[in-house]
Amino acid sequence: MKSLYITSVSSFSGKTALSLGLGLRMQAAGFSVGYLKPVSTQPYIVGGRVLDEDADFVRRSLGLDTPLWELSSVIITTEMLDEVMAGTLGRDLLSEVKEACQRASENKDILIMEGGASMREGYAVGLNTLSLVEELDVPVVSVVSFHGEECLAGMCVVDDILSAKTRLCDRLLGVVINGVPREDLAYINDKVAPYVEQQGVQVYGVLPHDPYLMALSVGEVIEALDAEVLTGSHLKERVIENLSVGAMSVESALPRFRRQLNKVVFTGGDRTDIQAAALETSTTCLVLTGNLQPTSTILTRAEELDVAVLLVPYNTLESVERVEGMFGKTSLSQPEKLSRFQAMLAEHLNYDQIVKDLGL
Amino acid sequence: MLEAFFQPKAVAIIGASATEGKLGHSVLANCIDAGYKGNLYPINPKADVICGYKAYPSVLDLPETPDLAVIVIPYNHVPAALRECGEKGILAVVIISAGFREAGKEGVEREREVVKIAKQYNIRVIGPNVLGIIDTATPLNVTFAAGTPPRGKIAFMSQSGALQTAILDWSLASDDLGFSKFVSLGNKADVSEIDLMQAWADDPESSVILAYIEGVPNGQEFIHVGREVSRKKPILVLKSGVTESGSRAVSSHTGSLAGSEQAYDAGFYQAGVLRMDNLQDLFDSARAFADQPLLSGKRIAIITNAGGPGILATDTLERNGLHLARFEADTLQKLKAYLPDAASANNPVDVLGDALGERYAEALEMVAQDPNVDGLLCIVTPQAMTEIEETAHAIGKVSQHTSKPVFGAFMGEARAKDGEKILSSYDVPNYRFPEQAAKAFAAMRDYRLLRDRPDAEAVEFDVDRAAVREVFEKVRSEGRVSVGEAEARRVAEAYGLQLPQSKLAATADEAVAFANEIGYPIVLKIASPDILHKTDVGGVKVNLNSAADVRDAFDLIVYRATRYVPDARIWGCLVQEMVSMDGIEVLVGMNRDPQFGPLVTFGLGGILVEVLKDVTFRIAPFGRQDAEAMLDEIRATALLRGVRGRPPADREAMVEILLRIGQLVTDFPEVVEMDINPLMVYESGRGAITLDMRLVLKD
Repeated sequence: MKSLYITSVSSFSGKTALSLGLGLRMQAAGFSVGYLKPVSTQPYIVGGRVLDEDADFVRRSLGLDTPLWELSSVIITTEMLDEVMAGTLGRDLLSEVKEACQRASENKDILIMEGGASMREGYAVGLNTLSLVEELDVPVVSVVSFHGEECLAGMCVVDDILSAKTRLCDRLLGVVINGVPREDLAYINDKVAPYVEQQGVQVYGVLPHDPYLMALSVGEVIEALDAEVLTGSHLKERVIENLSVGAMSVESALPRFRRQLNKVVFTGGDRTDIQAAALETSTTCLVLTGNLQPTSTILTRAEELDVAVLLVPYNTLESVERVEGMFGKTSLSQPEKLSRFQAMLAEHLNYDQIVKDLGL
Repeated sequence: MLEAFFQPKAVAIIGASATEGKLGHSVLANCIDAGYKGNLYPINPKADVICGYKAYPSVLDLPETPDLAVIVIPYNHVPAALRECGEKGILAVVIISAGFREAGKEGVEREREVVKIAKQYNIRVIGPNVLGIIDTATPLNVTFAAGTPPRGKIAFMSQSGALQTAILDWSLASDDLGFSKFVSLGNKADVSEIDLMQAWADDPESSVILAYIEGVPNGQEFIHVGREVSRKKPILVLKSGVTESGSRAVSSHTGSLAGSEQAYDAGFYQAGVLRMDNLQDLFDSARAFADQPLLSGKRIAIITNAGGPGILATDTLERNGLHLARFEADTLQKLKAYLPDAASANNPVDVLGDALGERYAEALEMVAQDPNVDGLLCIVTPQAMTEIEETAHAIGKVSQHTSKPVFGAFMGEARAKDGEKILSSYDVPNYRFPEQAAKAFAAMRDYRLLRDRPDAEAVEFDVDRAAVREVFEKVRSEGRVSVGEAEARRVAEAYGLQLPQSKLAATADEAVAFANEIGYPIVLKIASPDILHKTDVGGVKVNLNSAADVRDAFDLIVYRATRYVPDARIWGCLVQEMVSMDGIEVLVGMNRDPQFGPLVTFGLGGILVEVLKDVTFRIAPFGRQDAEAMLDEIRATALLRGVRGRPPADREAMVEILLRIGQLVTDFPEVVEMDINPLMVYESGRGAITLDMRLVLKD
């Protein structure tokens, strides 16, 4: 039995996606695949969203029979942290993780473990990435996401990769660079990747940024806003790539609406003109705020065009704030997104090299 | 066309009822009261005789096939009734029943079904959700309105049936408001304002077409048909939903995006349609067109017994582009000789407060014969000695033997009414306020100009459509809607727009050769896929005036580039025409309107457009005359003609670019927005250069 630990430097960089993508690929190649999230460092429910539904999605997609509660062997909560600091926990967390690994890897060719959100995580409870991979004796693949806006485009990526290498030394099998904007692909491929390879780090893939994958689904918007669905209850899996607010005149809204594809538009239920303008352009979802029912003509038109119309009690600003924070943090848990991601991996990930390096 | 609706030989009223207060009763009663002479068939399975007419259970049981059926039954039975009409071979149906598109989702479905049945049987349908239709000449009244309006020459259609009941009520009490046709458009499931315009174009009973509408779903066809019909008779349109809130209300009615005001203005103008601001103007002008000959010029004579109202009328005339006529010396002499000394023989002619009917008659006669006068307005204030009746007859008689339009303005109410009544017997419209009369003259003049303008001359340039199609296909295949700079350049070139000349030189020798070809001064720019910010590495040199300068600049730029970006791939330098800023910046844009299609904008460019909003609009495709008119319509048109010794801008170049852009946005309906800002226009003969062009495609 082989195992692989997938970690990252920052949160929402694509660990779950890569774990699942690799798992599916390995299953297709005839391997028996196990999956485990040894430590979940975030409280289970954040902002009304169950974070580890990601893990559940991986489990379901891979068709595993591991019970949901065993997917995350240790979940760190505020209460647990208090007990650790008070010295009253009375649990051997490391042993728990090891036992969970044992169970998850039974009858499997490979166990994919999804690590914490950063290299710094887990020290508080003695379960940091470095000591875990040491104790479990597993090779590591790190996902490095591209953050062009934060520092010199290439430098962050190189820094992240080399610091991972310094900490993990030979345990680091290699890295996958994720979320690279199209215009920076050539630079990362031609300059950054050869350079870090020269420094002894294998680059398994450079994955382009795909706004579609970061997109929200209509269902997620409904959930975040606890919205009443007026039309399009069958459209929950449709994705939203842009967010727009219709508080201005139609004249100024229309040019903006035209440039934003597959968007959600927030506007008052009484702004029939803005609603009509949104329906005229590429709109996936209309969020009508202030609990103001739209006219039946708008609903009819929306139905004709397959646009979801949601009604919420909040005002436009509150509604936007609730949804805005979810962009880029959304899960792959929609079939269309997953197949798109799989296609991307097929094109840009050196799968054979990973399998070879794992000794599978 | 649509004759079956207006001159039917037999009519079936489906849902006719003997019970007063029911719509089905009102329609039948109106039809009888109006004096309809054809065969009238009430359709009602529950009655044998209604209002003295034999009733039938279904149109299928009728002894003949009526030309027209009117359906006034609950909405859920309408499709079946329509189908029976189809089976019977009835080809014209008015559906009065409500409960269709205006009533939500199920209603929309129901209306679709109705349209489907109508198509299947080739039935033309007016409605649903209408008041009904009236033809006063036939006479036919199949509405549930309270009565039949007096006969007249105005053909009136309205998207609001309720508004029509008010107009009808008004006409019943008025002496000079009559109608030839009176049609409520309702949901316009089939017959639209365009069909009616076309049908009424050659109707001898109607001399003017009036429409109250909330929107024109098919703007391009409206322009096309309007242009034809407006050559034959005036079309006056009142379109509601002008303000933002108003347009929102229209959107609520239809569920779709209302077209922009600019598009309606441009579209109506191009259709030759006169746009009215309010109901008052609509009917004031309609009465003028219906009763009087068309104003042939713009010189108006005013005859008044009071100074103030005369001046008010004058102001309104001038404000609307008309003038006071300057009388011939002969006329002036005659007037002076005849009128009392205190009177004014100059226009406005003040016949003084003590003027009796005879003085008005003489003065009117003299003025009407003056060849410098195109139209007459006679203002009468009811003073103590004023002879209302005699004066009214005097005005009426003058109008009978002059080919010029004559309007009365008997002001006031109690006594004015008597004058008004007499005027109406002479077909002279009366206005209670002289400003209304002045505006009616202005409408006549506007119509004449619209009617007499030459037909739009279609222009087609030889362009490279395939190149543009290729660019757009690439943009869309990449999931984009915005067309990039280099791509826009290709589009502009394919449609024959002039861009700054630009050539890639690999060596200094080549650069010099190109520079000689393009002409000095020259701009040189580093050409490298690896250098985005050319100026940062010293990769741009401007204003190069000789071969030696170009050679030096080439070497320097390439040397700097290789030093600052050692790994960069260097293709050489772009040799570009140095665009002279010695021109006028204008803007040519396009915004695709949901109703009218490509709305092309022209105006001053640069930042001025934001501030001054000095722009004008046309719906593409348009002809040369329209393109030329656009240049003249902006407030800053004088700038284009050259002010303070500046030479005039290249008019021909601007006209051609407007026409080429009109062709581009017509050829490619996927372009939803387009902007050339700025277009640098040079003096006559030197052309215009497109400096920046942006396009957005439909998703």
